[in-house]
Amino acid sequence: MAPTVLIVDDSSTLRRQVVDTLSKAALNVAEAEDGVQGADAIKAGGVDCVICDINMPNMNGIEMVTEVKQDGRFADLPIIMLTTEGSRDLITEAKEAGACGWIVKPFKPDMLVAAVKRLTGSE
Amino acid sequence: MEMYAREVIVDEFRRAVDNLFQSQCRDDGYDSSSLSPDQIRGQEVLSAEKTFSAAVTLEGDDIKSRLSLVSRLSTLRKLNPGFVADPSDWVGEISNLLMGSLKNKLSEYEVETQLGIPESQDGPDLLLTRAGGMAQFAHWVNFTHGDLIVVLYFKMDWNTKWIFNPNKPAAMEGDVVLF
Repeated sequence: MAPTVLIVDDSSTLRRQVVDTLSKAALNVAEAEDGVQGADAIKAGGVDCVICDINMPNMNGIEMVTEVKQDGRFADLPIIMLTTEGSRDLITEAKEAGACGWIVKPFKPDMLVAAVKRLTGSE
Repeated sequence: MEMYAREVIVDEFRRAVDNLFQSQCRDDGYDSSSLSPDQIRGQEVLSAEKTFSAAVTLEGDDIKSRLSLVSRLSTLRKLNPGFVADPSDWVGEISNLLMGSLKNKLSEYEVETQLGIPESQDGPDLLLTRAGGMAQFAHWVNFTHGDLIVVLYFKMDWNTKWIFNPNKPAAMEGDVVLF
C-alpha cells in the first residue's frame, strides 16, 4: 500500500502543487492548513510522512514538530520542512526539534518526490 | 567581507525578483526594470480590472520592511497554470517567496529578522498603502503574458555595514537537505 503523506501549509496554492506532485508519484496525500490541524491529523494516525511549512497562523511548523515529537508514537515519523526560510540557525532549530529534512520553496517536483520516497522507504 | 546594508538589500531584491519570475516564465519574454514612485502611479496594471495585491513584513532589530505587489488575475494564473484556485492566496505566496529570499540573505550577514504572514486582497490597495518614512525600491516585471509590480519598503540606518559570515550560508531556493 502506498504511503500517506500529510502536507501542512496555510497556502492552498502550495498544497495543491504538493498534492498534484505526490499524487502523480502514486503517493496518498492528506492536507492540513496550520500546525494545530497538522498535529491533530498526525495524532489521528495513518500518516507515514509529513511535509510542513514554518510560518503559519495558530501554530508554526517548528512548534508542531516539537509537539508531535514529544509523543513517543511519532518518534520515527519523518517530517520534512518545506519553507521559504533557509537560515542555518533555523535549520538547526528544526533538526533539534525532530525534523529530518529541509526543502526551500519553490520546490522542484522530482526532488520532493525523491525525498519523500527515500524517507518512507518506498523508492 | 563588509558591505553596506543598502547594497545587500537592493542586490538581493533584484536577484530574488529575477530568479523567481524567470523560473516561472517558460519562454523568452521576460524583462524587469526599476520604477520611481511617480512611475508606479502611472502603471496601467493599477487601474486594470481583476487585480490582486499582497503584502508581507520583515522585521528585526532596527529594521522594518514591507514588500508588496500587484498583478492581474490573468497574469497570476499564467504564472502557475492549473494551481491557482484562490488568486489571493497565490499572490500572497509570491510575496512570501520574495521576502523569504531576502530574509535568508540577511541571515548570511547574521542579521536576524522575523518574516510575517502575508496578507492579500482583491484590487491594488495593498501596493498603494503608504509605508511612512521608508525607503522604496520598486520593480516592474513584464512577461509575454502579463506584468506585475513589486515594491520593497525598508526603514533602517543606511550607513550600517554588515559582515558576511561564510560559515552560515543560507539554503537557496529549491535546495533539499536531509539530516
